[in-house]
This record gives sequence, C-alpha cells and structure tokens, in this order.
Amino acid sequence: MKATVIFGLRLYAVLVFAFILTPIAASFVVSLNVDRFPTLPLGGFSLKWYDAIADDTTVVDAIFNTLLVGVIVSLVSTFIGFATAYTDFRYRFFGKSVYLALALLPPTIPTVIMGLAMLVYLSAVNLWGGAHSVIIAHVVMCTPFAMALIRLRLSQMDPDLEAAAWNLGASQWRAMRSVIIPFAIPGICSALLLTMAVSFDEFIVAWFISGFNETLPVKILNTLQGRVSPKINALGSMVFSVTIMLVIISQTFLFTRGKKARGFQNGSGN
Amino acid sequence: MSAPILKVTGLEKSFGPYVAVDGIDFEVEEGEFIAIMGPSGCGKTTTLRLIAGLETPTGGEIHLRDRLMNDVSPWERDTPMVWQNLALFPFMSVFRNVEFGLKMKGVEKAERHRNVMQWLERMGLDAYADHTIDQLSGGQRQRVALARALITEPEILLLDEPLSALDAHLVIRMQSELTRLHRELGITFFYVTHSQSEAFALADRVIIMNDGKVVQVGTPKEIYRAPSNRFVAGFVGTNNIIAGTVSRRSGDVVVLDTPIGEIRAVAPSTGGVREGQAVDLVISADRVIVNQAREDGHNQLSASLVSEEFVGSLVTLYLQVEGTEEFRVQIQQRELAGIDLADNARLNVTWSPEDVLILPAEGNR
Repeated sequence: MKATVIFGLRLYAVLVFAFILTPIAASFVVSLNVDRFPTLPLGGFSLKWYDAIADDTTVVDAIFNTLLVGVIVSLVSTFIGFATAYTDFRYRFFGKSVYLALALLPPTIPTVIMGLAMLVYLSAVNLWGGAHSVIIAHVVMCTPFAMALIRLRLSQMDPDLEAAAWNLGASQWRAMRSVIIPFAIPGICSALLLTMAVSFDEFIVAWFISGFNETLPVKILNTLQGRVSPKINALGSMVFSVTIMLVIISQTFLFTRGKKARGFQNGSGN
Repeated sequence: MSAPILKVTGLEKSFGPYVAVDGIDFEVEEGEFIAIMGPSGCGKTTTLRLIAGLETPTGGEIHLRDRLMNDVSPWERDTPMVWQNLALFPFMSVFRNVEFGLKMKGVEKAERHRNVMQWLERMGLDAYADHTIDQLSGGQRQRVALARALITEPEILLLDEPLSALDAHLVIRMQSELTRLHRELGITFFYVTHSQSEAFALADRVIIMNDGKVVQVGTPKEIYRAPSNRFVAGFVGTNNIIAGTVSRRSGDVVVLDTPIGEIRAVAPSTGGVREGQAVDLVISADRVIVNQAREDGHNQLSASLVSEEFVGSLVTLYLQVEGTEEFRVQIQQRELAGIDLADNARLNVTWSPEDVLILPAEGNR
C-alpha cells in the first residue's frame, strides 16, 4: 500500500517535470537539427542555426544589450539590496514593517501592469526607449530578490560581531568593510547571479519599454512575429542555458556556505 | 592612591519606559579586579556596554582617567571587551582574529605578526594560528577572545560573563587563567557575572546590583559576612532571613521576637536598635551547629529534617521549624556521620548571637 503511494507520488513528480521541461528539451533538440522545419525523423546534427545567429547583427546587438543590462542591473540592485538588508539588520525604527513590505513589493505586481506603469512613467520623464529604461525597470524588479538573499545571510550573523569590531577600534566604515561584507559575501555573490538571471530572461517589461534597443527575449518575440525560423530555438536554448546556470551557481553559493556558517553558530553555543 | 581609572556618577540608561540602569555611582582603582554581580535584568550588562560606549547614557557621567566618555564613540575608546558569546569573527583564522585590534590601530605588519605570535604562544595557541574558529574547542575559543582583547595592551579589560558557556571543569581552569593574567598584566579587569562563585573567587571588590541600582559594594568577605540589606542577604551565600521585632536589650545583646521564637543577637555596632522596631534577621546557614550541646547564651531551635542536598564536601539540610517555611543549615559532610537523619528525628540546632545580623526591615520585601 505504502509502496504504491510512494510510486504514485514519484510518477506524479516525473510527469510534472516532463510537462514543464519537454518543450524546452524539444527546442534544444530542434535547434541542433539541420532541417528548417521540425519534422520526425530528425534530419541530422548541425550548428548552422547558431552560426546564423552569429551572422545576424540585430541578434548580436540584442545579446550585447542583454548582457550590458544584466551586468549593470545585477551590480546596482545588489548594492541597493545590500543597503536595504543592512538597514533591516542594524536599525530598529518606526514604520520598519512598512519599509520592508515596500521593499519586497515589486515581485508581487503583475509584470504587465509593471511594464505599463514603467512605460507611462518613463515616457513622462523622457527616459523611455533605450537600454537605460530597461536597466531602471529591471533594478526595480530585481532589488527585492537581492535584498531577500542578503537579508537571509545577515540573519545568520551574530549581531555582536559588528559591535565587537567597533570595540576593537574599527570605525563604522571599517567594520562594514572588514566584518559585515566578508560575512555577507556568499549572499552578495548569490544576489549578483540571481539578479542577473532575472534580468536576463525578463521579457514583458523589457518589451514595453526597450524601444529599438531590444533585449534578447524581446528580440525572440519580434522574430517570431515576423517568420518562424529555427534560429528561435537556438536563441531560446541559449537564454535558457545561461539563466539556469546563473540560478544554479547562485544557489550553490547560498547553500554550501550558508550551511557551514550555521554549523559554526551551533558549535559556538556549547 | 592615584585617581581612579574609572569613575561612574549618577549613570542612567533607559530604553523607552524601561529603566535598565537607575542612577549608579562607583569608582574603580587602577589594577583592580572588580566584579559586578546581580540577577539577570539587574542592569549589569547594560552598565558594561555603557562603559564600552555601545550604549549612550540617558543621564550621569562616565570618566575614564579624567576624560568624560559620554559622547566618545566605541572605536575611539580603549575598552576592549570579552563577549558572553565571544563574538569571534567566524570567517577569519585565529591569527586574523587576534590581529584585528592591532590592524585597526594601524600597527605595521611585521610588528603585528610578532605581537600576535607572542600572544598565541602565551595562550598556548601557537599551533592553531591558521585554524578557523569552528575548529577550536570551547576553552581555546575563550583564550582567542582574551588574546584578541588584550593584544592592544589596554588599561582596562571588560568581561561580560565570559565563562557562562563553558563546562564546569573548564570554568575553574579559566578562572585561574584569568587570575594569572590579571596578576601578570597588572591592568584593571571589569567583570560582569551572575555567578557568586566566579565573582567571589576572582574579584578584589564586588559591586552588587539589583533593579538597575547598586545595592552593595565591598570585598567578597565583607559582602559575604555582612550583607547590608535583605536583597544581598538573600542573593549571596545561603542565609536564613527571618522577620522580627526588637523586644528588649540587655547590654550588648538584643532579644528579638520572631515567628520561630525568641532569638538573641549581638547589637549592631553601627547604630542602636529601638524597642518595638521591625527588623530582618540574617542567620548564615554555615554558622549553625547541629546536635551539639548548647553553649551558654546561644540560640536554640528544635527542627525536623525535610531534605538534604550534597554540594561537594558541603551538605545543605532543609529543616522544618515551627513558624517558618524553611530553615537551612550547611555543614561539612563528615559532620553528618554523627547525626541521626531518620524520618521524624528531632534535630537540635544552635548558633551564637554573634552570628545573627540585624537589618532594618524593608517595607515591600
């Protein structure tokens, strides 16, 4: 009886993953197929669609835009996220719960609404239609993730550590540099990668506001609207691979280092 | 004697409506080993944090040497601290932890290295310089924390219950280590603890705090033998505290009416007692004698045994005496052999009037 239940649950899990991942896997396979249209049996292995991407300057521009936006967004939102998380760690003040709720709000807003709002607002202040618009919008969307990750890390820190640094003659700035940041490094690295991943495959908001400076996901849609090309499969596979890599590395940082730190805290208690 | 190294006057700290430190005064002489002792929440740790500059006083003054410290930031003070949870930097090696204070003071690298190695050697940690903190045992971490605080050669060292997380046998070892360091370095140690045994074993003078106030200051012996009020008498040692009224006085001896009968006490040298005055009597449990012939003029009670508790070579007997909830007696274990502890056995307890301390009664306690 019990064995049947476990088998059923396992089967269910496999089916769910299959349901999610089959289209992506199919796109991968087809991107390496020599034929123009995805038919079975497959025609043969080829990298020609990836070569085609490299030859298409609009796609290369989109890749460059995506990378530029991703790197800047990742740096800026991690910085703001760190500052917010540190404020939460260090200070108690009136209205702190409201402050934290506001800081964590953006991901709860439907992206279509976020995109529309950004479009209206950025046009009003004349910042619409370029890579910088996407950077602004993505920073707003990514900062909460950075903050959550770094806050999680700081919550594992003994609050006396910073005071101990002051007590040994470190000014607030030096204590920040020599104690807080080194302790938070796993969280910071994790936040850098995750925010980059979020920015990298974010489509809707970028589509609303990027104008002619398309990012990769926007480029994919625009290409699709014109004609169906197997280049899409190649592009999609690339975006998916990069994003999933970033997320996995980010998680590795958080969990391996985090576990070690928790072990220390338990150990010091006895 | 020179000017005190630390002088605290009218020091106050409140957190909103909660008053943690309520106007305390004391002075610490150079080179003293001073302990602040009190139950949890008495304000002792807050006092220490005020001295280190980690809290800002809401009233009163702190002088280190002759310098007013109220508005000096913690990193500009020379008051290193050994933390209750040690607060060692987990991502640094032992060497880097100990080096930290010197680095912040801008000492150059070669000298830092020499200094750190010297201290590690002194603490028996030279083999562990490259270890991380979580590879060390509790006692080793303790020594790293001490080395880290002492490496800058401060004039005063603050210690916040540094031994509370250690096993009992390590506590004794670390106590002798602290005594040795204090003697060798000749600097002032300012030690916060809730443990009477630590405070009395280590300190030259003890400050006892309760409810944010200093209730007594004195050498361990003074405090142990002559608690100045009911709180200290209850907190320190094993004392029986009995309420009574002064009945009459004959010469040096005062006779008091209490629920357990008439008790004779030597009149306090500090001041007279009037007839009819309400007082608290303190009878130290280790001054009471069980089942021996009563000496002339001594007090005497008849009691029955409720339970006994062994603490090493000492035994505490919990006795039932008519008129009080509990009467405690502390005797050597070997004395126990001659005493019949059978159920319902009547015990005869006696003590000298000299061992009764008279305190003015306090209204609410």
